[in-house]
Amino acid sequence: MMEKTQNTTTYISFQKKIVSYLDGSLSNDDKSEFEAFVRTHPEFEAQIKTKEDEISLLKSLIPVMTLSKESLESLKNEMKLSILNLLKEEPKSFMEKIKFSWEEWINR
Amino acid sequence: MDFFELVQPLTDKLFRLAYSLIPDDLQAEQIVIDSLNVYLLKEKKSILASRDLETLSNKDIQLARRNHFKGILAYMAEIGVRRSTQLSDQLKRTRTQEFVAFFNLEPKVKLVIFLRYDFQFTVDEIVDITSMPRYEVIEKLHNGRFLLLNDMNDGVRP
Repeated sequence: MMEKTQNTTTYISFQKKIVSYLDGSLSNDDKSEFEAFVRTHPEFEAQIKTKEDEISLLKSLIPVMTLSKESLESLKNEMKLSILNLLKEEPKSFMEKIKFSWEEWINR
Repeated sequence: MDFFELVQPLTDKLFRLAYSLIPDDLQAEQIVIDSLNVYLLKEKKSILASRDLETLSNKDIQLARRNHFKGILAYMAEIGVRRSTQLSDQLKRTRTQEFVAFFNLEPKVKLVIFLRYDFQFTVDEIVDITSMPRYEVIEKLHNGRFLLLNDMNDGVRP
């Protein structure tokens, strides 16, 4: 009787770990223990499958917005401008300063 | 290949996360630019030091891209959550009719759910990106899952 209760408790505790296992939030020890339990309880895989389906459903509740081609291009151009402006190397000499200013003027 | 070529394939993904935090095209685009700008300012030295991208193998380019992605996301997480909180009243009025349950989540929960289930980051990677303690990330994932699935079940109930 006591053994049965203990088995049920173990079973429930592993059930509670399914989502954490799928999320990758179990520690390495817990993960190994969980996988060992699944290997010895093949019927448990059905429950994992149910949770996986639940997660697939969850993914469908997350918005996947995409920009129009024009907006995407415009955003990329803004990013490019930021990168050009903020990643500019400081001129080390007077000649470099002139060179950079010239390039900046040409690229305007 | 220059830095822009390295990060430009990430544009769409960056926008998606920004939009998930603030469902407004212009605001979301601004968050992308602001996050990139802060990243460039803070990491300028290391980016310039590793600018010799021509010599990298494809695998290293992918790795460098992923690292920069995570770096930009870290600033986006901070800026996006703060702005989403500031604009919450305004967003309530203009809220889209689609994905209501998701947009009703608190900003940090939306962020964590999106990073995990859209971008497929692991819990540890989310900890790095968001600078939240591990237990908080797990708690937010749990709450988000519960609220989203519960809301859907309520919706289909007659």
